[in-house]
Amino acid sequence: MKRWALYISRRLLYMAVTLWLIITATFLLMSLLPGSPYNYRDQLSQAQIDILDQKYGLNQPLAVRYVTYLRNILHGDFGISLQFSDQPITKLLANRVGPSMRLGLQAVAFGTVVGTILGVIAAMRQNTWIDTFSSLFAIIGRSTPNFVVAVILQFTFAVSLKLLPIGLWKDGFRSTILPTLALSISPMADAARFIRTEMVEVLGSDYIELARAKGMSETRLAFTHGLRNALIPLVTIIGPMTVSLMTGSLVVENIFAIPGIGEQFTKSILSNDYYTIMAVTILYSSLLLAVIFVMDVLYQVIDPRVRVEADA
Amino acid sequence: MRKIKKWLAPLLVSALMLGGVSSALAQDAQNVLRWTSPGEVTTMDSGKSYDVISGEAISFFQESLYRLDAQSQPIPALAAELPKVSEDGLTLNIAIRDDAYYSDGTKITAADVVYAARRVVDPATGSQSAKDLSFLANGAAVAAGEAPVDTLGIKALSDTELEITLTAPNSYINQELSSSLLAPVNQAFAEAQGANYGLSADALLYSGPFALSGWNGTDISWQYVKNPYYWDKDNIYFDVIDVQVVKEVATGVNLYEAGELDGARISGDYVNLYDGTDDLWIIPTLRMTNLELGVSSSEPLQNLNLRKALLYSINRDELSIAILNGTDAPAVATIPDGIASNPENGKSVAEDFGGQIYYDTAKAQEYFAKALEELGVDEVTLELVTSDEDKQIKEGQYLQSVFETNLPGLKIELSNVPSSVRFEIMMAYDFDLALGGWSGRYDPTSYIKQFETSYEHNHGKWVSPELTEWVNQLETTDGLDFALRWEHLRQANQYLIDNAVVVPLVQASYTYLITPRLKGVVTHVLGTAADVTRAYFED
Repeated sequence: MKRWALYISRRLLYMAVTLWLIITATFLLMSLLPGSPYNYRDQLSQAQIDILDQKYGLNQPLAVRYVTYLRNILHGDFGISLQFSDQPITKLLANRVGPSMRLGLQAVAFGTVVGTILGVIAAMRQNTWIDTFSSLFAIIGRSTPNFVVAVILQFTFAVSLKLLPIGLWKDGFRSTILPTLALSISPMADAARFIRTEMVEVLGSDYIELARAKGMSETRLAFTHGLRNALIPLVTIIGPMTVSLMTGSLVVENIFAIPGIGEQFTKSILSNDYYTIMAVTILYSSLLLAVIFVMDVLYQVIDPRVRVEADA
Repeated sequence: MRKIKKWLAPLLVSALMLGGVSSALAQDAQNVLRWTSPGEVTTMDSGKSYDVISGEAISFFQESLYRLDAQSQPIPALAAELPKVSEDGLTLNIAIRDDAYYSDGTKITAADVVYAARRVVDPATGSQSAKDLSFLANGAAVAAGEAPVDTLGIKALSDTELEITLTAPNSYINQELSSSLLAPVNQAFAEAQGANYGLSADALLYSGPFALSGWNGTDISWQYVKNPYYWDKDNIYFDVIDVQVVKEVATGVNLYEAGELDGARISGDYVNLYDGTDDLWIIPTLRMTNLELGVSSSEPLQNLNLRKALLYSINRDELSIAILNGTDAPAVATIPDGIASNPENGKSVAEDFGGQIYYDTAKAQEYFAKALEELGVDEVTLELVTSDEDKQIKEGQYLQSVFETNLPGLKIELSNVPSSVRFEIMMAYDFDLALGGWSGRYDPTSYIKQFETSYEHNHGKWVSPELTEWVNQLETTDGLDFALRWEHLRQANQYLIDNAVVVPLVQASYTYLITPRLKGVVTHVLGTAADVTRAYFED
């Protein structure tokens, strides 16, 4: 137990250091961005720009700004948005992060579950039409951009069949169905592909043969013995995939008119909205670090062989 | 098997949901307008607004001294009548309506307009629009932090009497006074809200036909609810205007076709698709797209004949229709059409100045041959800087193909960069050709001033004492003589064309789908393109 506490505290320390490095690097790189955060720049005089720079503290030397910024975020103050005139960034992100996270989680959950089932079935029925179909689906799913899927889904289920809302964030769960499906295609395809490959290997191994010889049913064999061993590579990719889906998809969110954060990041970079860039970067990195941490713990649950660090 | 069942359950639920029947959208059809915005609103604070989207939103719920009709003519709004102008044209006396109240029932007074104006120019506010009030005496000095805010040329003589002092006589002053920057702000309320003022719907008071509701800073949907205290409420027909941000044009069109929106902004191929229907509205704006010439930094472009060759080799009709799907109209002059008219005969810019910019390949080739001879070269290579936005990329590619086809020996190298970089390059006065633009206000002077020697946005660093003189006169003495002012605008425009200082390309317009049963929509070249505040559904 003590080892576990040590392991976790060490991991948390590494995470904090990583985050600090990311913040520092982003802050420095950001200062190299060309352009100015003022939208109306082409109509501003230098005197006005100086006044605005002073107001936002942008006239200070980089080092001073950096220290001030670090101090502020330690106090939970992420600054104000220069684009959304003076809105606190915490409020700006809090308002938008919910729908993106919800869609991301739904998409990963739905996608990996369906993908895993497809993968297992394909592996069990190797070289049959089911397997071919599953592989074909994985290839198409992986190579079709999700916005194309989004447009097809929107056209089919909303515009033509009128079963679901075309867009807008008004009908609760019903509003989330099409965007979730659109976003879930890629995790679904990835899961199907990984699981099939791993399962084919696992199902051919000796201990499975043994279980089979003992008369265990094929389904039980695949899902209880086989799947657990085949999950490792999937767990590896699920983490980053979840984070990237949770932090929003610009295009899918725009197609379904969803109030997510997908666009904030891109837009904040294009408009030099310094503090928003920083806040979104911190959000993304923290999520990614947290997810990687959770995944590392999960490995140890799934596969006892990975319990290296704790036992070493 | 048990485990499979566990997994199947959520799947089946999702499948059932998919098959669910869409709930009928019961709408109180007569009283609710379902409107749209192409993006989030950056600010709902009338003193800080600087972009079209927020300006449009604010026009629903804040009312300035005047508002404009479809011909950009002022109609008294918070002011009871048009201003009384002193003989020297510098002092204006304006009577404020006695029956004007905010959405909470507080009375609106002249002092609220004074506070609003001071707040905009006060450097502490950090408004990016401070410059737009520099027509007020001391406006520029206060904005630059060189004079105290109470020296600004605006005073309340009583609750209903406002006195405005101008820097110079201004023929477009009534239009300027319709700016929402001058919409009243209640000082007590604003100071009580402090830094929160304007950051959410309940941190604002509303002087206009509607009050904002359901907006918390960065939302993509909100409502305008009829303001029961608005003085002209009898002419406001909608109880609620629902606004939805729709960024994807196709989604907007789908929602419009499904009857979930009563209007949608469109662009691209959709304009052609709806061409000829009652739904399509094309509304010109004052945004000019120009090919800017880096005269100071590009040696070949110092040659007049080369510049003229560029000016005459572009088929602006083709650019407008084939390349831009009719979303932009061909430029008629260096000043956009629709901004102002000849005070003597009412003729527009197109009718009065038009015919100077045209397409003539033979002429262009002649100029180009001369240019090559004068420059002593067989070939000229110019770099064209555009932003990396779709539209500018398309325009850039079009110009490249047109120049290289019409003027053999001219090579155009395209450089697509983020728009902030494009702007930095232009502000560094170091480029050959750049796609630029200019959005002016009611006074066409800014389109001329753009090329004035000392002006910082004179990107080609064009030097001309004549132009400086015209701009000086336009900004000062001409305010008292509208006919002379118009003549100076004409001369300056002619000068810019004769010297090919800039190559005007197109004048932008907005395209909307608006349900034909919606009546009373007013269009504007500046500000809200399609104003629906006083609109209603025809029974």
